[in-house]
Amino acid sequence: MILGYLGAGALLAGVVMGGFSALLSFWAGWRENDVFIQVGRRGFYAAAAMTVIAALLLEVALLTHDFSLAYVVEHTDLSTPTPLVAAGFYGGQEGSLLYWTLVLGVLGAASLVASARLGARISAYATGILAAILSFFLFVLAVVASPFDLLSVTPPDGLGLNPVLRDGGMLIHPPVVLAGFASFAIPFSFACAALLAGRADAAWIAHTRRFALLAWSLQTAGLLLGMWWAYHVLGWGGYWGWDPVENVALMPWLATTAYLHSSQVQERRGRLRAWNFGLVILAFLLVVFGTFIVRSGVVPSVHTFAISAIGPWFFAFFFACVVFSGGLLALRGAGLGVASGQAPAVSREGAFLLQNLLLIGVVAVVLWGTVLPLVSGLLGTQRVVGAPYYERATGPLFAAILALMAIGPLLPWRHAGRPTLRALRWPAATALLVLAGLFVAGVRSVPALLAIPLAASAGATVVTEYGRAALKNPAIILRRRRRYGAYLAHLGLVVVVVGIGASHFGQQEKDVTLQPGEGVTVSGYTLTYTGSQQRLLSDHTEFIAGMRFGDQTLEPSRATYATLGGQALTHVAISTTSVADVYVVLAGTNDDGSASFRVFVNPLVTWIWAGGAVVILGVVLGNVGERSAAPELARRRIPITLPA
Amino acid sequence: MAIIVATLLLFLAGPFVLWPLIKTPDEPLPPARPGTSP
Repeated sequence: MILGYLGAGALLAGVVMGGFSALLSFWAGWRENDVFIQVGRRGFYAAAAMTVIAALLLEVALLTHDFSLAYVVEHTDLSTPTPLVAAGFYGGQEGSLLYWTLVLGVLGAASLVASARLGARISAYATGILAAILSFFLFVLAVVASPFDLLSVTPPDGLGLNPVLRDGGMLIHPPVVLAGFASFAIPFSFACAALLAGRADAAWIAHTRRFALLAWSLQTAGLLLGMWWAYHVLGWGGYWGWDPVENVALMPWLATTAYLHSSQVQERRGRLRAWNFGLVILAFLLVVFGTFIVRSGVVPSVHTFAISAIGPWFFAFFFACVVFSGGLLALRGAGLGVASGQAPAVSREGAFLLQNLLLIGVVAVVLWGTVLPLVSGLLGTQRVVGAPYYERATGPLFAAILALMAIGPLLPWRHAGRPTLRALRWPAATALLVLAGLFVAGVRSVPALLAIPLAASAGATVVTEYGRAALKNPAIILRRRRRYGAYLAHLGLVVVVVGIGASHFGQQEKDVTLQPGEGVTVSGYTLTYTGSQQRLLSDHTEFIAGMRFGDQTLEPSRATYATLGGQALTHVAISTTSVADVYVVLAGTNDDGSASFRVFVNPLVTWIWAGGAVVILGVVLGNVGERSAAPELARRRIPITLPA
Repeated sequence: MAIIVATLLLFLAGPFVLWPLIKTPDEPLPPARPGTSP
């Protein structure tokens, strides 16, 4: 019980300290008072420390089974393994919000420590904005959805974690994706601070890019881990269902992908300044909007948290963020100025701009699909769109982005001449070769015939660039590792796209009911049913089927939780071969000894996970330990100073 | 109870947060005039 009081006290202290820091930092930034700027910043650090204390107290309450706390009762029980008890921290609405706030506090503090070079005023305003966001979250946690609410009677045991969440994936996917969401607040804060301070020079972009890259990397890993988890746990044979929760995680990732490319145009050519501010702001607004959608329950989703009172608070926060950042951009954007002269269409900057427009097009398609139930419900009959809408609407846009991945890196800045056309011959030849190969192999799916050759040509572009550098001077790869790290990330993405293309368009599926000893063949892979057994465990009953596959025995199973109203959960059995996954789901067992299965053969799924790892590797190798580009950029360009 | 804990935490955080104000030297005192007691 004492932990509940201590935790609630830490949250309240955090709200007060965060509010103090926000107000003082804005005032001190405006007056350029160095001493009070420092006090405001220390106030943020103290508020972040209160959040850390609250998080530690909740974790201690979980691990010591303090069932006087409603949150501990609702998300754990005495039989839950310790790692999953610890993971219960972010297993529910209140705890996951506290985790979000914890990441915001810790990364926000790190970004402020690293912001010394930006000047006192930007730093002060960024502190103020970060502290305001932190205070909002702490306020919601302290007043509306507290993980430290106490029960009037302490029960002897808890209800346990939702069975779907009782999986190893729970230990890694939610913390990564929630950290990704939280970290988008940092580039947003610095972008708004730069606009408020009237400074849009290269130092801003160098600092923001670093944290945008961190948010993007966390979100990339979070999305891929989510796909991996869905594929291994949910048992429907796929990894992406265009569910609102997946969509709201994808949209800020797309906006930040656009920013990471267009920021280079500002660095190199001084263009797209207002656009870059807009993208950073958009990414955070999409995060807040997504959080509102997911946590308020206004849109039907498989991931939706229990309906809670936080919806209106998040809507108000979203509205406040839109008004603040939109107003700031409208007031200051006009003063950012544009570089003189017309930007040539066929050039690196032209390719980046087109890629940005395509990515924002994908965001628009996904956003409309996600909010359609909400908007149509307000207007009359609620309508929901499924995967076909998203695939048809985003497919051509993604194809064009892949084509740009093949062409863009070979285009020079400013103007592309005849040598560029010669450089394009390798990606073009690769695309044609792969297209012919797929056609000969019997592939007739138009989307697959488009996506895979385009991805291959983008891969050829990366290989061409690496080859050129290796022939000229291999040391250049290390010297310009941000560029070559990005190419490695492109290569990883190409592998991901080939994996998605092959598994999506080449998936084979069969539903069968088999007696023991009977077999089934799907896409050349033969499995034989050997019989099933029943296992009674403390909180559930499990039926396990045996399927012989070559030398291995696959054991798909189905668990029924009597304590949770008979909720059933499938455990998929997957055998990964060099070219495909054999994916077996136990649909049910029958009284006559037979069992029903759904068998999938998914080609090249492992390419998605391997490619994702290459993307992250490329980002890490290209950026960790890299010296900030700010001083060099500042030398190259005259800072743009707006009236304060 | 939570309010008491919050107050205590804020009190404990005070010296850290206010340190820039604490360490900033005050205005120097005027030198003592000769012949006056300290």
